[in-house]
Amino acid sequence: MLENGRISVRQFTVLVALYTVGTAILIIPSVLAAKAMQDIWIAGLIGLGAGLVLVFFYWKIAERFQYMNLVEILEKCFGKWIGKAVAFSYFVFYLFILSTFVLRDIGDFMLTVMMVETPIEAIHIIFLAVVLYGVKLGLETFTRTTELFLPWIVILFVVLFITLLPQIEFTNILPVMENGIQPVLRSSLSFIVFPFLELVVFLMIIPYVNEPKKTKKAFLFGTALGGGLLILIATLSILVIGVNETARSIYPTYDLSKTINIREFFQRVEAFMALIWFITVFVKLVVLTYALCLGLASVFNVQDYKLLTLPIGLMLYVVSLVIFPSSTYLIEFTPIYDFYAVIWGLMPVFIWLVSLVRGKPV
Amino acid sequence: MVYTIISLLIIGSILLIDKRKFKKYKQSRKDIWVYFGILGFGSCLLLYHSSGRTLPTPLIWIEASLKPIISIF
Repeated sequence: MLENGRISVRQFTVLVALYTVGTAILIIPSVLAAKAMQDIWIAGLIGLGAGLVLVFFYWKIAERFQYMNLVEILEKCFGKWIGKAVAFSYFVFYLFILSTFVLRDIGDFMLTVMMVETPIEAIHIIFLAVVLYGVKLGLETFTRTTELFLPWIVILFVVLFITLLPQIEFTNILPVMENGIQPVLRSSLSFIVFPFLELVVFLMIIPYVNEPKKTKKAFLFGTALGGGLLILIATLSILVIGVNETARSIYPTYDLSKTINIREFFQRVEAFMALIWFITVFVKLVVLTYALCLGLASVFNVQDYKLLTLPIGLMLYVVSLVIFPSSTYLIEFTPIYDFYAVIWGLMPVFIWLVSLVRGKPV
Repeated sequence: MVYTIISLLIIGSILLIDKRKFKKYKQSRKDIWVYFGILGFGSCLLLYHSSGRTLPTPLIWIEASLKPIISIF
């Protein structure tokens, strides 16, 4: 077995929750507000419901294949060579691209709002060094780190929520469904794609939970926790800074924390709030890179996935620098990416159908 | 020029960190081939990028292949 470490069901829940929050915490309010406007919370709830169904389906696939990892599932389903080819395409064309997006997101964020004169290469190298070190130490180690981070995220989030309470304007979410249900449904589709479809990566981690049969509740609870947090923060953005500002801003959550001001004394705490994002992005990137290394090691029958960590890190670094030429290009590319992510994210449906046709899998 | 030197330093430090692993995997030549395959490809991309040329983004190919399908909807 490529991975000898084992994590507990509780650790798995924390990992899923923080992965779900991931990069979405800073971007999702504007993504949702662009279409759903003040009905962001309805779109969020619909998206979360669909996301939970999707996660349940992912878990059912894991259960059907006796908690094998995704590469083993694909090999079992399509045969050795076709399975390996599909797995290779999946890891290179989906997980790798997704990882470069996440890395570039943190680089762009730092460059735009915090360290404008620092070269993006320096930010990427430093962040990636920590992530690769985490991956090299293994699943158990980075999951324990995630557990240590959780109280900090909870504390910072509670502080953010309490300090923003005086500025909440409930009229900002009115009128409800002004433009009908269609924009709300379209917006919830974006919420399903980002971040719920990305949870397919946990098919690589479920086999290494010490009691895989108990992961169903953990997977669903972690997703609900992360998704709930995202809906809360998106709704808070609308309630405090309004629909137009939320939809126009690239990082509305950061702008939201800028508005914290208690008696002209407790203010300019946005950098502390950015800490929530650094932690969740770290968790997301470490899980993605880990799955990428483990998956490619599985495809090529490499004895130890840790051997591939640094070369894959180098590839991530280079591609993240060129992945999108400008943020305008990224905005134009978003609808195409949604479609692209749906193709890869719904691949388990195809696996399910093939396994049904071929009969009992194991 | 400076960026190319930094790139070479990055590649060198990766090889230095993994030096001990090469001895461990001396018997398994396939693992080393996979390792150097990925590292070699990454190094070529990095050196190409560091020389000031613009690497094409992989999103262009995704866009080219999916845009006709999306336009149907």
